[in-house]
Amino acid sequence: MVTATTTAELLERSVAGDRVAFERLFRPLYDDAFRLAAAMLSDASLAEDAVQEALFNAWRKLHTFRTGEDVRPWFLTIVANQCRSLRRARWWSVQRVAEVVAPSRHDPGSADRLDLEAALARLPRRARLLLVLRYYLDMSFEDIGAVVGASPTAVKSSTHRALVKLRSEWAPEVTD
Amino acid sequence: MDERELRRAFGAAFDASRPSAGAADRAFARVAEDEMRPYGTGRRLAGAAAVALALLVVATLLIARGALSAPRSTPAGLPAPPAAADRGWVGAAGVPLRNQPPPSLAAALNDRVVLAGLSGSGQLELTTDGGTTWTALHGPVGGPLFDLQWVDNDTALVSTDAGLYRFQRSTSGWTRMSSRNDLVRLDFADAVSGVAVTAAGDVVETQDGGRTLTTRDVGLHPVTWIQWVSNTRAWAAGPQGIAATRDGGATWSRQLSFHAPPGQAGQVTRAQVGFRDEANGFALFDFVSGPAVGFVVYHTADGGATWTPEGCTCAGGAPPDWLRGGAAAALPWAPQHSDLVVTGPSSASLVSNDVPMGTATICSTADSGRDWTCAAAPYEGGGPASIAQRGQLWWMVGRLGASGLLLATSPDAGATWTIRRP
Repeated sequence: MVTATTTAELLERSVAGDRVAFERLFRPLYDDAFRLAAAMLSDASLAEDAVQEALFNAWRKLHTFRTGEDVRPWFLTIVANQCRSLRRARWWSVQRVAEVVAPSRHDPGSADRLDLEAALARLPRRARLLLVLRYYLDMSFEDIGAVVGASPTAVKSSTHRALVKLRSEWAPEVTD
Repeated sequence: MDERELRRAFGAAFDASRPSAGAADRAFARVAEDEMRPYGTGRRLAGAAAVALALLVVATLLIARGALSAPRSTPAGLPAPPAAADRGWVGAAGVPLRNQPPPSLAAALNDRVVLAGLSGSGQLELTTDGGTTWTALHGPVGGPLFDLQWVDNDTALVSTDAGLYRFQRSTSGWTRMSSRNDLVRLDFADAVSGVAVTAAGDVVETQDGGRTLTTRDVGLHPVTWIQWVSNTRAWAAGPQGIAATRDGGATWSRQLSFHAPPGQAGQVTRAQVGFRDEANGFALFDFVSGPAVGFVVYHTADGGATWTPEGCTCAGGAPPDWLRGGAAAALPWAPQHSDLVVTGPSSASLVSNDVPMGTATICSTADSGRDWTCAAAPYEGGGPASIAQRGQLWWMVGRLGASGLLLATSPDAGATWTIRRP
């Protein structure tokens, strides 16, 4: 685990152009970034592209990061924005396709999983992001607020509304 | 379901998704290859000031040329847009505006799940096993189809003569989203937000899955095609040329404007754009002059800053020189063609349909439209066909006499085809 002291050192060295320090700082965040992107885009390949682009953007924008703040929500904000941009990528709209879930994830026996993905996809982007950050990445309302640019109170309220909306769109099977 | 169970559900839904081997390494390798270093404070301020000054200069020049702002009223010389209630296909001066749907439609979700249909009859079928078996879809949709689009792995939007419908694959259920029966082209980012082109050449936008549709000014009218490649970049095409946005649709600017000489017979009747990314794209313009028809393929590698006419079907004066430019007469002539399917930054394919002869030719380019390689479609006596591509598999949909739908697949970019039905 990268301690607070080494984080500051790595950050300073990264801003100065040390790519090794940058990788040491952001490599531990890669998995969370991929999980966020995969949940937002429902496509592992697109998620890879989004995270790669987000890392590059983080490298270029690192000088804008405010020292003392947590780098994880800052980076996940970049990932979320990159997902938003990629989601509109319709180069294949000429061929009439949509962002897809990798076929290997389609387990015919898991109707609930498909239902949840479908229900999430029907929510507005911001609602989907709040739910993924809260219930998939297990982020606190404070950290989510740092990602979406809102107070923890506002995030809590918005997340609750998003959850109500999700439950209206999704009816998982109840097993006794 | 409490929060703990909800978290388990999210995990079950998404944990199976994994990055490919080496994905993280590749991502960091890209950073390592970046030649630019992050700026220090002093350089950052100086750099930002320089960029701001440059933008101010550029903006001043562009405003002076009137190119930055989206026009708020119909520019002089362009026809007034048809009334919103007019769903007819007729464009300016009584010349038919070819803003109607193609004869056949295909929407591929992946290599196994495909919707295919015939726009005239409304016949619509679904396969979930790569074309081995097909299920006819019935429901409230019984009339002509206009467009199909998958918006997520379970939901497709179907635009018809009876309205806009949402189809859920998991339940085989249909939901009517709008009574609008004039949406000829759909471009949705997801099940909630998207745009559509109407038969009258308007662009409408929705943020609620189609229940509410609001007309948007894209600086061009009529529009026959619109495509988004990101949340900020989109292109709209029509007989008057091409317009583009870089700010999510807040403003639009013309990239290509056609100025026909006085007394020019005939006109551009339809336009299509297809972008692979924010830089590389194609545009296809149809021209009709009496009995003469032709089309020209343009290409851009800089996001539309420059458009170059590359290839055309050029015979009998169609298309005219002002539209054709330096395009090579590289495409076989046919009275009809399918939509252009963009398969790469410099590659695209389409189906040329010689309807009277009942033959079809699949033509592909790998050099931005300059040269085309054509091969006979894998059927005879068929009607106009369309192709769709997703992943490794290409799909062809056409009408085959009394047999209805013709469906074929190709695993090798159209080199060989397997007829799936009939």
